[in-house]
Amino acid sequence: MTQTLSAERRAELLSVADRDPLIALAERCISSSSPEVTLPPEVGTIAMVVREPIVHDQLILADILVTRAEVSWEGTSGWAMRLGNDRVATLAAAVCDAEAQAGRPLCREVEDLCRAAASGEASSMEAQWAELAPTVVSFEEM
Amino acid sequence: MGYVAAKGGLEAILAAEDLVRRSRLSGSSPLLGIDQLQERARLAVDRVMGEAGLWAPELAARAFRQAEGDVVEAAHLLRAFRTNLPRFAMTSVVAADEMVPLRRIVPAYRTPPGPQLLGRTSDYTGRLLDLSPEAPSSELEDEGRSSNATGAAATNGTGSTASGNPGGGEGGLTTHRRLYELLRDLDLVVDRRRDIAAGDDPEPYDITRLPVRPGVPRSARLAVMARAETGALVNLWYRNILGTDMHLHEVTLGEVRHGLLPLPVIHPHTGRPVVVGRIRATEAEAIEDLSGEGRDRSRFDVGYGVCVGHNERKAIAMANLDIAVELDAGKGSLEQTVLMTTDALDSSGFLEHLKLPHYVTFRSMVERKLAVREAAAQKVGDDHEAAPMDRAPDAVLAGEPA
Repeated sequence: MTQTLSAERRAELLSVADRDPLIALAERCISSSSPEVTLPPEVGTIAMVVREPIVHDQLILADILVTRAEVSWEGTSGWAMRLGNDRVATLAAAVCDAEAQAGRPLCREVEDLCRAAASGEASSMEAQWAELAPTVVSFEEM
Repeated sequence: MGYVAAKGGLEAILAAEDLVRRSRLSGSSPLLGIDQLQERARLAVDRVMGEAGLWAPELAARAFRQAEGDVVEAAHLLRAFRTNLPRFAMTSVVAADEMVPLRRIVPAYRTPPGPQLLGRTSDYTGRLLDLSPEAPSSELEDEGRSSNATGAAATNGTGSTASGNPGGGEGGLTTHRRLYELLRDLDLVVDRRRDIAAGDDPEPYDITRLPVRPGVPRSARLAVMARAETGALVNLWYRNILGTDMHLHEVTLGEVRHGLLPLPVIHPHTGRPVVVGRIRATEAEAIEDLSGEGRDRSRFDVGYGVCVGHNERKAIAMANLDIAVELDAGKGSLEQTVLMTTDALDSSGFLEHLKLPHYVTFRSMVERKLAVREAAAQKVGDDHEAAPMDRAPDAVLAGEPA
């Protein structure tokens, strides 16, 4: 099946996909055969580098807690990184990534899950803006 | 030099620790949930993360609960946890301009580019203790559900993964041009920008790996303040604006923002950036009126502050101190004070160690006092009532008669 999402976009969406459906889909992916876990789920940090706007200096703002994992399915790798400390969900995301990347049977469902994640994110931001919009100041001329 | 010349007390220590644990876990009310703390004590959880230097909302809430609400202790727990973690990578460089504001005010100018977005704040209303019933009515529950959904999305720091503006088009959650840029266009600020195109783009100083001493690059100073104790920065700012230090004069705030910053990492297979989530951060710009001797009085200069989570006091104090240190240029002790005295774990750790037994050092001090007294008595031939060295210091401290 042709991939409609780039590897980067898929990884972005799998990093924020809802945990329960993500794990459920990964379990279905491995029901017939299991991938090789090439990088077991590992908890660590990434250092966040920010460029400030005045001098344009780079600075390390903080470390960010993440979990990463990688699997390989018949030579096709799947990779995932999610915020926080959640080995199961991250491994599930890597499995789903490999499923889609390899064009395996549940490839389409992985992409549907990604689209649902994108839709959920957009809805969340719209809801957030709906709450914030009334706090925009309208000045009255004196 | 040791502090203790005796062993023992282990059983008492274990019993005391057990008392802490049992008191924390038992009690007549239900245990505070991690989700409750993230939603309802978000500012405390944010401070824990900021002072620990680790964005990990769930673990910060857990640390806050374990520390019984002591922010510094919770930051200590979280920072200690972080030291055991591998660091996988640095993010790609994120421009602060990429922040999608959830709140954005410009106190210096009424109509900056983009809106004055008050967001979630009680800055402009009276602060009164609310004694009305706290159990929400069904009506408030409905209202609260949508509010909490917003808060939770922001607290999780994963508000969106869209690579562009998460809120979509015009009028939604989007980035805005800064007042600073407007002032720069008008040639009203000192332009200190690096020439990045010419290669003037030093790597950021990593204060978790390298020592911090006066003379370190500005990136170290900013990183130190980003994880400094909020109260320490506020106090230092106050000393400088109203107290005796006087490194700050007429300061006005440019931008104050709280919003979402993306976390781009390099995809290991494609080599291209992937935004694996977003975190919340607060930033501030402090506009300093250059009026002192030798200053360019036709322009302003600007300091910058940024920290993780929602903590405006910290970001504002940091921005002020950034420009104050810059203008002081090492002539005074401000840089050293900022670098060496604002870390919560350093200062609280040193202070709290005073509670540990100091039996040996204090006994030594008593001995010195007694020796001084004896020497003075011998010198004047005074037959002092209690010839001190006739008695052991322990006997003196125990109040035994001479």
